[in-house]
Amino acid sequence: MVSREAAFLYNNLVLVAIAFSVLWGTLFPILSEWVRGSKITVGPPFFNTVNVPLGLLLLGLTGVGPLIAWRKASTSNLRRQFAFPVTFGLAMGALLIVLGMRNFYALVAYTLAAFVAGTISQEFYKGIRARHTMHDESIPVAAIRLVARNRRRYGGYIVHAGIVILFCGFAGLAFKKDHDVQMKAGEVKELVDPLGHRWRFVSQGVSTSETLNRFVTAIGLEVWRDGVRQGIMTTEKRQYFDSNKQPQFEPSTEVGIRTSAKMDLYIVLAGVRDETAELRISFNPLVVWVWIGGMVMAVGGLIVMWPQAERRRSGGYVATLAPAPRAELVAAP
Amino acid sequence: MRRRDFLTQVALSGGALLGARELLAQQAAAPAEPAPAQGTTSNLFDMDQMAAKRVTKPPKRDAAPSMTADERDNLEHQLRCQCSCTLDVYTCRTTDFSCQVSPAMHQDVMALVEGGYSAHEIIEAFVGTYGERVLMAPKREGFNWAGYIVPFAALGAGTVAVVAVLRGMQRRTALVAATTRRPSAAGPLASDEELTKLRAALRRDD
Repeated sequence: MVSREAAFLYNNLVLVAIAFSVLWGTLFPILSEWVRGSKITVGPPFFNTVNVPLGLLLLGLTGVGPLIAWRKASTSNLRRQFAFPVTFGLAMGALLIVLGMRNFYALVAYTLAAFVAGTISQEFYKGIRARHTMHDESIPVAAIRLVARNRRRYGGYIVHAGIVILFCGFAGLAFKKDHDVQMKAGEVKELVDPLGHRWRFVSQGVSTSETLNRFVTAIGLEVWRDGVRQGIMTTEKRQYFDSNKQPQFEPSTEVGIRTSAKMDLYIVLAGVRDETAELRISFNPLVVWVWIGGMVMAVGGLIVMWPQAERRRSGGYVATLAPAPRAELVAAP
Repeated sequence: MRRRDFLTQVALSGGALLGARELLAQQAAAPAEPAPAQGTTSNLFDMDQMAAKRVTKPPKRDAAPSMTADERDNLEHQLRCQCSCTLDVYTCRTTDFSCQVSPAMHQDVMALVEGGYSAHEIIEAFVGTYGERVLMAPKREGFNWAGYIVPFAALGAGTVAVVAVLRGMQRRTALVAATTRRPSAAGPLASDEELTKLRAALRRDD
């Protein structure tokens, strides 16, 4: 029951459960209408309620799998393997509580992410140390050769690292903060982001223009963070038109985006009324890490898939097994 | 798979992706079909600009605003805009200015907040007017519980099934091991030297 093979099975089971919950949520309005006769909506809050716990379970299993031995794990082996990652995860959780984090799911996500990161670090540390000791390789060379000689295993760990980064990015959205503001030309708005930085937005006024195939209504904002000028950010509404200057579809919005490792800032022009721009200003912590996590996963996947070079020199040991003699099945005493 | 085959396949896949991208770009550059009448559709869905209904209640006696702007925004995140955009009222009204439904719903929310109604009372008023479809997620009551519970029940059932299969496999393995270890059985499957070589080969393959 407690083996790496079993952990893989449980992992796949959770993935299937997540896929099923999406299918179930998609079909549930139809089912509900059939049973109760009234229409309901199943939107993001439903999927967050159901899938966040499943996702966290998956994250936890990502860290558990590599720590368990193949076939059967002994208690002493489990204790030895889990000691560092569990301690690291719990320490991270405690630190975040002390720092004031109170969002339950985010707290669990970061604790589990630290646990998985501890697992991955431990596996790399053991492998690199073994190569360093046995082959007298420098640490960077040992690290590169470790991955190159065991692509499936260590490429898999790199995929796990990508998943950890991805979940850290997802959990950051728990602290997302939206502000709905109206600004005339020259008006100033001061806002505080979830990390406590003070932002200052100065409206440069609304402008309208016509280009080759669209009318544009835009606003520029001079942006300051903690008293340091960050530059001008613009956001605009575009109304595309055809050759007869007839509008095509509804207006589309170009969002002003400022990306940093800590946080993305989005400015959305909702519209203009009486020369007053209506804007949504969103602070989205750690969004860029969702992209980085995806890229790390892709790199890990490529390492896993990359075929091993065929060995040119001969003479190495090749295991050849003779057919096993048929065992006579006799009832155990 | 050999490395050369792998690299060939990666190159072919990349070429196919680039070709598809070029094709899509050409299609996008082609003249578009005439647009339907303005105001009834968006780029992505059929927009119903007349879907807003009034949700009103007389203000409570000595009414004061019942919540802060942040709490009101959170409340609007729970209400779905009825223009068919699938967004909540807050997101729709602050993103898509062409929608006339979400601002109307926002005005009703504002009036009810000013009238001293709590979040629960406002949600009930909207459900009374539009039906349960105005909520972004079904209420946790009656048959709706099935929506929330079934995925977890399925996971639990799957876990029980996996544990049962693993136990069965474990029993069969134990039975075979017990019988092959008996002196009357066909003897050891491999010599000590062969087993040592096999273990070494497995270690290298790990």
